[in-house]
Amino acid sequence: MRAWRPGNARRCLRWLVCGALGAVTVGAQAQPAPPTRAADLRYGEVLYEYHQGEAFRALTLLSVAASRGGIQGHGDHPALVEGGLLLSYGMVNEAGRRFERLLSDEAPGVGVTPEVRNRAWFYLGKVQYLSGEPERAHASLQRVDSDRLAAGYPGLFQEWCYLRAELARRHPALGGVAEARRLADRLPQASLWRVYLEYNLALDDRNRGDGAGVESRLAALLPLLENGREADPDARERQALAARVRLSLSRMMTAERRFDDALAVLSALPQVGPLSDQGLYEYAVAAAQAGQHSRAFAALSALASRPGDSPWLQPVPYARAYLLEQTRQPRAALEAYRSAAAHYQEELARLASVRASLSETSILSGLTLERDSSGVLTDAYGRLKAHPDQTGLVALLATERFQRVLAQWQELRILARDLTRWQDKLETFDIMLATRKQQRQRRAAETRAALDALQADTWAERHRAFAQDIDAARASGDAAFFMSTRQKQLARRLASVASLLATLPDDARTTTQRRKYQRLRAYFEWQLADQYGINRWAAEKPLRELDAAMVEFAQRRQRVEALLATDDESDRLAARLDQLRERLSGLQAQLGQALAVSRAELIAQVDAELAGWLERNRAYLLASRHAQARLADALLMSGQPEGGQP
Amino acid sequence: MLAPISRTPRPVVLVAWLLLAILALPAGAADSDASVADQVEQLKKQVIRLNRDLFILEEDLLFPASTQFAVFLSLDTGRFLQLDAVKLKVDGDVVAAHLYTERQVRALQRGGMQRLYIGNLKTGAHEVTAFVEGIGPENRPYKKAATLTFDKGTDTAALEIRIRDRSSDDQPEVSIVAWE
Repeated sequence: MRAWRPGNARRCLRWLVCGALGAVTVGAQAQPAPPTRAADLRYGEVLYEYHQGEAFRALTLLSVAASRGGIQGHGDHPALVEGGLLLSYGMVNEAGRRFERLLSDEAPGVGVTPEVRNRAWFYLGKVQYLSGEPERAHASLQRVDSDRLAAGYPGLFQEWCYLRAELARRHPALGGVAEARRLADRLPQASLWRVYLEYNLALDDRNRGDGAGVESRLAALLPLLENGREADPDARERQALAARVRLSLSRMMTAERRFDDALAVLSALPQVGPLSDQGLYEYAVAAAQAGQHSRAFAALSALASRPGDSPWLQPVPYARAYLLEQTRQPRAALEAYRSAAAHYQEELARLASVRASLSETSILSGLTLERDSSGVLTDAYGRLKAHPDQTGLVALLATERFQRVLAQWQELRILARDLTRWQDKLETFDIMLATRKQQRQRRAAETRAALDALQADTWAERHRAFAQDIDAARASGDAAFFMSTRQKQLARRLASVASLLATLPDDARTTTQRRKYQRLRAYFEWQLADQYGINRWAAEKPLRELDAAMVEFAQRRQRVEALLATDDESDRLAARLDQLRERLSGLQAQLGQALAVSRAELIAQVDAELAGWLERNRAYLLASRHAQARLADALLMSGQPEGGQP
Repeated sequence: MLAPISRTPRPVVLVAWLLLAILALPAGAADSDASVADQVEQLKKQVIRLNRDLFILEEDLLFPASTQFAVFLSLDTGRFLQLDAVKLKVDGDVVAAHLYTERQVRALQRGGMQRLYIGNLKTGAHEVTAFVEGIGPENRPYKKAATLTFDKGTDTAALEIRIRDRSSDDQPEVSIVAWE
């Protein structure tokens, strides 16, 4: 096995995704202070999704919040959270840009708080580290105030130590082994970060030829890894690292021909798994080379009894026969070669059949997906938690390239599923809008009928005519027009008296009455003239009020008419709906294409793996048959023909 | 030669032995996919934007600001209550009920707020009641209700069901508060 190098990571998007979740999770878990309350409901919602690992939903909510005025009361934390979420969601470039933007304002006291800036430097350094940019990563990580980080975020501090130590260990110009040692010593003894560092430092020493004490240093790691609790979230990783340490120890012991020690170390490996299979196989080969055939047989027998399709099990039938031949048991070897050939022949047929029926479904059926009550388990970003249980997939699933394509394919499927859900919703929205439109039309008809019942036009005409009369009377100074009701009654009575007087005989009594009428008439006209202003004001005031009411009525009517004529709100919603439907459709097409590419890549990788598996199988078959023929010839030549007596 | 290994900070997605195997892979395997990854990133960016716009449209359509009414739930800090379920009544009708998973409770304990309900309400006085169930102090079943009568105006109304630890008597406390 070869070392992972930071240069790989630039091309390893998936691991950045994983790393991001680690970052976010560690950040969240490492907070020593009790949770603080959200000062903004939108931020509270974002945190709710964020802490459940729902990066996509959290990013959507952050985006919604931004388009509705942003998040208040949390300073730059939302920006930091968004960077972490983008990183988590595999949007590395965007995340890097966010962190850089967050850090671009260098003026002290402006923009980002020191605490946020500190963490942003850490995350940026981590992105750069994972992107295979050691110098930039080193520079960014150096800007982190480690004391502040240790005080506020002990988990991030440990990770910071690890990243810096790894950079120093791999690049002498960035500190070298001494610096890596110093940083490792800052970590707690049982920290998994430290265990990795100790392991790497020990192996570095051994590879440099300084092997003294390496075995004991490695052995000292085992109790730290194997005495953990099952409930520990790192339990699996610790177990895996312990297996790795045991494998390394066994290799070192095998190289020194300490087979008993090696076997003792390997005996504690998990029963199933590529590391234990690999360890046993290497042990068998080394033992055979050292002439320790019984040990080699024991190891091969143990391997042969293991279930599954580990690549280390494939050569076992041939190796066992070969070992029998080496131990001068030609008849048994011949039988073993025959049996191996039959096995490889069967395998060829099986693998060819698997290859022929290869599809997305068959690949998925070759993976056991972890499930819980709510369905298939994914990690925080929707990737399947998968275990291989089909030919070839064990080794393939362990490859970075396959993992990346599988994760990408799964992500695309999730995106496509989300878009399909939205499409369904848009159809519902359509129905909703159509229903609203119908309801509106019904109400509009009712409103029109109500307006008609009001006889609005008649009233408007009467108002106009009345206003014209008043204007004319005012222009002509027509005091009679503005008479009050009482004055009108008096005028009528005076007119009635005048008519009566006109019919009376012209005697003295009538003359007196006519003079009296004239005085009354004069007084009335004087009063009319005197009260003209008051009367006119009394007539014009209600007219003005009526004018205002009529204006308001006209405006309201206009608004109602406009509302009846057009439905702007619904039209706007319908337009948005159409526009979004168009975008949705475009994105679905793009996603479909990406999904097809991803699916093809997935199938191609599995096919290539199966092809390699088949090729190796053919080689073993050929070798078994050659050996079988060779042994049969040898037995014949030696006078011990196959099946005969010696 | 024995080779060092790296720990990439991340959750354990695969069985751990696979994880280790992955970490020790040869370099350069992924060159040809960089552009695909970028494309996927671009797609994700577009999907997030579209999702946002659809989300906003959905709210505008279903819950106009003038009638919108939302109820959130927070848990601070949950030491005295292991939250199991919440039921929400508005004006006597059950409008929402939720059973909590462990993951959801953890998210609430870390400061998250769940939008338990969103709907529409007319202007005027309304009564909201929240029923909280779980395991309380001394591992005993715990049930508590809180009620709030409030006036819904013409703006969006938001309430918060707040579950807090009351250190004075080591009991959980449930209240409903209105957000401005």
